[in-house]
Amino acid sequence: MRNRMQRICLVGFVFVCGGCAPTLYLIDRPTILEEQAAGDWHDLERETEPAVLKNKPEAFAPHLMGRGGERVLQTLPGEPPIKGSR
Amino acid sequence: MLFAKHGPYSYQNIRTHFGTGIAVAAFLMTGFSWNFGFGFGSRFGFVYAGGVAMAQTSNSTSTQTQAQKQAKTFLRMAPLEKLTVGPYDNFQGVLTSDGTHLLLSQNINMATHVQVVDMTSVAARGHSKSLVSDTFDTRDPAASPSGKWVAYTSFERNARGQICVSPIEGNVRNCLPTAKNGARQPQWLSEDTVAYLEMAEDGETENLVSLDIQSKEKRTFFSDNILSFAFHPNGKFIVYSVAISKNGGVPSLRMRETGAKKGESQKIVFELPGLSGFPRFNSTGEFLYFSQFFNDTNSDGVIDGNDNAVPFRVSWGTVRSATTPIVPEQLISAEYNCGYPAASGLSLQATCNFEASLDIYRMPLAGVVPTHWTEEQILSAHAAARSLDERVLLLNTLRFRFPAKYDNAATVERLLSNHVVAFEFDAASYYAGVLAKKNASLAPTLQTLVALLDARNASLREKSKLPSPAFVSYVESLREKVRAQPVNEFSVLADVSFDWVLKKVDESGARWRSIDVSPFQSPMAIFIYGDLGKKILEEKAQTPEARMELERRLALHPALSEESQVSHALSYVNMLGQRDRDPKSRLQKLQTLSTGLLPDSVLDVFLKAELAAMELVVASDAKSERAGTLKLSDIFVKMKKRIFLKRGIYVRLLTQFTEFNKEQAVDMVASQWVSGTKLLDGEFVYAREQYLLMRLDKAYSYLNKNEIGYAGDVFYGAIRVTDDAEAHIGFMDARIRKGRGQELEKEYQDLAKSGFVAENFQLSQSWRDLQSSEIGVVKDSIKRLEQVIEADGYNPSVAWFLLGYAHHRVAIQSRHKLEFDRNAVESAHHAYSVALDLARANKRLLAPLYSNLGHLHSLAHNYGQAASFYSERLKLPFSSEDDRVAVTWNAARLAYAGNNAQQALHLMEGVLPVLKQTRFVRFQKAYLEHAAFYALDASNWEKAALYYEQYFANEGATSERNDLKARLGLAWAFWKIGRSDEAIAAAQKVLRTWSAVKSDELNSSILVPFRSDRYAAQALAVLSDLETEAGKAVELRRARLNILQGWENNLNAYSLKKNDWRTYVLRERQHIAALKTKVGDPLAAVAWEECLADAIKYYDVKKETSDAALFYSILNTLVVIVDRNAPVSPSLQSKLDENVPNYLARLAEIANGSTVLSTRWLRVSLLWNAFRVSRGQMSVVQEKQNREVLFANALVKEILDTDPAVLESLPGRAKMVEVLESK
Repeated sequence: MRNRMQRICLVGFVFVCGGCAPTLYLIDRPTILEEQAAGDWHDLERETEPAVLKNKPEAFAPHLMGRGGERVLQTLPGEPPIKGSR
Repeated sequence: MLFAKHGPYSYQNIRTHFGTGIAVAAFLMTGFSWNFGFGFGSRFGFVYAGGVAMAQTSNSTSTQTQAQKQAKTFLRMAPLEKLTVGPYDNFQGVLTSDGTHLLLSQNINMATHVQVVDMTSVAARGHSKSLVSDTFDTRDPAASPSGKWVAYTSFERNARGQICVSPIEGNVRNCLPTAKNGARQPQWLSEDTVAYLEMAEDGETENLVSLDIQSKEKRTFFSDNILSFAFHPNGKFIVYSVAISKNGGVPSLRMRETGAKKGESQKIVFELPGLSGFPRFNSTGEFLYFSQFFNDTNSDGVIDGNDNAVPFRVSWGTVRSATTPIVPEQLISAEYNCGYPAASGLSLQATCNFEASLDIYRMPLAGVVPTHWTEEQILSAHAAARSLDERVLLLNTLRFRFPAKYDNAATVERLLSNHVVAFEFDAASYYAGVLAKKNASLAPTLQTLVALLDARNASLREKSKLPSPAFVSYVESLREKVRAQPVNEFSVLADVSFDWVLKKVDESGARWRSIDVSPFQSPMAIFIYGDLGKKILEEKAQTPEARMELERRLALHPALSEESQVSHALSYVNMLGQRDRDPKSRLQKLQTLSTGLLPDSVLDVFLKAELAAMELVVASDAKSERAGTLKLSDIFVKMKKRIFLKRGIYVRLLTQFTEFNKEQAVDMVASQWVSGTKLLDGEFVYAREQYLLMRLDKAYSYLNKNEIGYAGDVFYGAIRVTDDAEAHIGFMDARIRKGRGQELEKEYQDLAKSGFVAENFQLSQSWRDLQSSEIGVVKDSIKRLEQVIEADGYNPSVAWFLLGYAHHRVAIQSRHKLEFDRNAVESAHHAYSVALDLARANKRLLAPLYSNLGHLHSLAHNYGQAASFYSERLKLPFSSEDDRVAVTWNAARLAYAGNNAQQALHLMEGVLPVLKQTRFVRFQKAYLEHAAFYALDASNWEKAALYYEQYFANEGATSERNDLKARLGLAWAFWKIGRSDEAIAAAQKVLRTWSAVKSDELNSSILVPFRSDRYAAQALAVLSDLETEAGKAVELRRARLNILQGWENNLNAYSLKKNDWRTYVLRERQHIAALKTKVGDPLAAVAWEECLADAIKYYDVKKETSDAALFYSILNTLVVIVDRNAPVSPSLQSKLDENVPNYLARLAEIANGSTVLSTRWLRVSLLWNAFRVSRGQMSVVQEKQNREVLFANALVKEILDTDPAVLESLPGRAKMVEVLESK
């Protein structure tokens, strides 16, 4: 049955009349299959949006920042001359 | 000084915004108040140029904050402005003279095209376009003096290149006459004349030629192995680089007069290691710019244009008058690997490669070290440098700008030292040679050193594990040379090195151990001793104590500078910490290790600081904590003037306290660092930046503890002294969360009035607008944000991020079915991409950027890209499980959209266990249902059944439609894992319930309408597959067939193509006929007749795609008739007589070498003959003869030649033979 479902859903065309030329949508297989065979959860979609679409930095605690290799914390050996000055 | 590649430091803050007076005073007076501090301006290594406002780096804005005014005094290099962004390599960038357009070559999947980027506004920047067609390669863009025309190399008609000219608007192209052997690298000599390189007739050298586009007059200047060239704007001189020539010349930069005869050129000699190339003049001809390749950075055995490039410039007057090697001006640090320098307008453009992709950047014409810096400032920046390349840049700057004091042997020695420490042997050997000439007394020692370096350098090019004979011989010759020199401290080290590179590990180890380093006087010899020691001890897998002992010995060595001692002491205590992670046990060891050291020596101070830090870490009460803090304070006071020691201690303490999560102590060290460093000290920007990081960390810590008010106060403090964009957002967000959003307007007016906020006043206003649900308000914010960006605001990634978000909101608003505002999506993508580049390692910004980009591309149906951005988001942490669960829902959907059901399932399973702890618990049913669906598509039937069962067991809210879909999925999963009874029960339930579930209208405008009879049809398929009684199965299939036939005029509503639908109808008919045949139903032939009738009907309707349907119908009909001796009605007989020969003729016509069609032809032919024999229409003898003809047929020959087994496997053949034999 699943193979049938897949084949049924392989490619879908929807013509939407809009004036003289129809709008042609080419929809991919996973989208159609998900629409047809998986549940619709519009409330959940709406509720996840603020977590996905943000307009501010994430308030990560310092330990989540994984710091350590910053340039500020780098040190260099001195410039060793050929002959010592001491 | 810094030129930050990562983290907080960057060129950006020439105008870094820091109310130093206020802030430092606050530190000193308040004892590091937690609620007052510094934000951070730009934590990024460069800025992204916002448009025509490019050169407004230091004085562009009318209003300056307190922070900005103070920031002007900081020692910061000029910003490196990024002009391009995105996943592709961009190179050969050059701005038109008026700065309105950027031309570049862009490489996508090995195809290169010249692109034009409109630089007139921020909005235009996101929309670069190809100059001409993308169907062929183009490169080497050059803008005409007026900026109206572009010359470039095109590979459309000549694989070796042809010069073409197009208006900057593109499309039209006018190509110059094709040179036989190709042409490349056009440059404009005037508005009408283009110069370029043309391969000479000999095929080995290149002619430098020019062509007047109007008169077509062509002029050849000279021939050589020219790599690149530049004409002086006065037209009198040509500078060019040449490759190694056949007659033994070396790669070099040369100059000649335009009218000079062949061979009259002069080498331009720079006092620089490596090779020079890619010459370019600025528009006035005052300066010659070029790339220098110091070292063989890609280890391919030669220094060439593929190695890391460093742009330099030199005054043309100096070149013309030079009689000795020239010391040119280095423009940027080598670590940024910037090539293709192009000086146009007010800036220098270069292609830099320091973060895995090539991009175009621009910088001041004089490079990144500000021209107004004094000697002391450059020295201070040098002392604070964080990379050896940066040190070399600053030394070269000193040498160029203050030649009287720095163009001498001492500077060369320092350059040599840096290259030795960086293990850049080519450059080190070069400077050793220069130094030997400048300081004859060092010559013998330097010869030994050069031999040592040369051996190390040569060893890098050895490809095999064992040294090659040539290499052995070379190293031994070096050894001989060294032995011929008077013995010096390098002599024995050279011997150790030679043994080492010859893989004589034991010998080199023994020699090294025999060295007593304590009397050594040469710091460089001690450095090499230490380096060899590390290698030898690591190779012999010595205990860490041996390595620690080496570091300890070197940290105490009196001949080393304090900076070097600090470096060794730091390594020593780092290793100590790694050896013993338990602070109490470390404390004990430290007490022993720190005894007997010279008081206040570097190691003594380090160990005392380490002791105090451990005391603070293990402190169980406030009193002991205070004691540890006091001890540290004493140390801070003692090391006040010892800058390298101070830095080493701060770095070590920050690492330590971070390791043990001592937030207050980290904050205290950062505060101490900044307050204990002078404002004009090169170190100050680092100290300050570190402190700012800590302030923001502090504020975010409060947010995480839900102490919103405190967080707001810390952010506010950061704003007052830094005007930092991230602090602004944190502050406003905290205020809104505390219900004080309405006060913000007033607070910002006060901040502006007091001069604490300038450009970011606009940014903060925009952010508040972006909280609005009204799209008009959101659109208003776009203009404002563009102004912020053009004004080169602080922490620019935040402004770009918000600009992307604003465009994103517009795109969301425009969404209708599958349509959306493409311009808004492109603008959002561009702004987010710039923000992503500028955000660098700032995870707090990267996280929302990746997530938003995932959402944006999902909206634009770019599922692959969306999935990849979500995947990047998931690699970062989450502030809450709520966010993780929400993002994962979207990420899984995108993974599935990208045809990766397995990944989608994996993601879902990752969050199923934590759902209960989140606010998404009420959507548990949704997560279970989608997990089951992904499992089903991933053929993971067990999991699909499990999750569907859990879905039905869960009491959460859902819909009848979802239940119907899930029930069908459950039936299918059960069937696949052999739980037939449960599969039947589930499918029957679908059949009982579907009609009560409301469908969408057939003529609905919904793209994929819900049609409940679809589920009935599919449930019937499951049931008929599982039905063991043929009669019942026929009934089920009939019912399914009826449903399918009912769809014929509304296939769009079922997202079906006509031919697919026909296939399903035919297949049902075939199933029915086969079932009837199986049970000996006398009406089986009628069923086949119906089947064939449909096939013929559909075949007639759309021939090109229904071959398969007709083929299978004919084949199955014939197989059944022959195999089962089924009755054949006259009408069927007539259909067969009429259609099979026609079909065979058509197949023969179109097979044309196709194995598939030839096989079909053979199968049907053989069965057709068998059928005719069985019907008495053909004799056995005729059939046999005919079969031989068939096998000899050209159509079949290929099948038989390639795979004789094909014939054996033909369905029905066995029975056919049997039938024939029985005849």
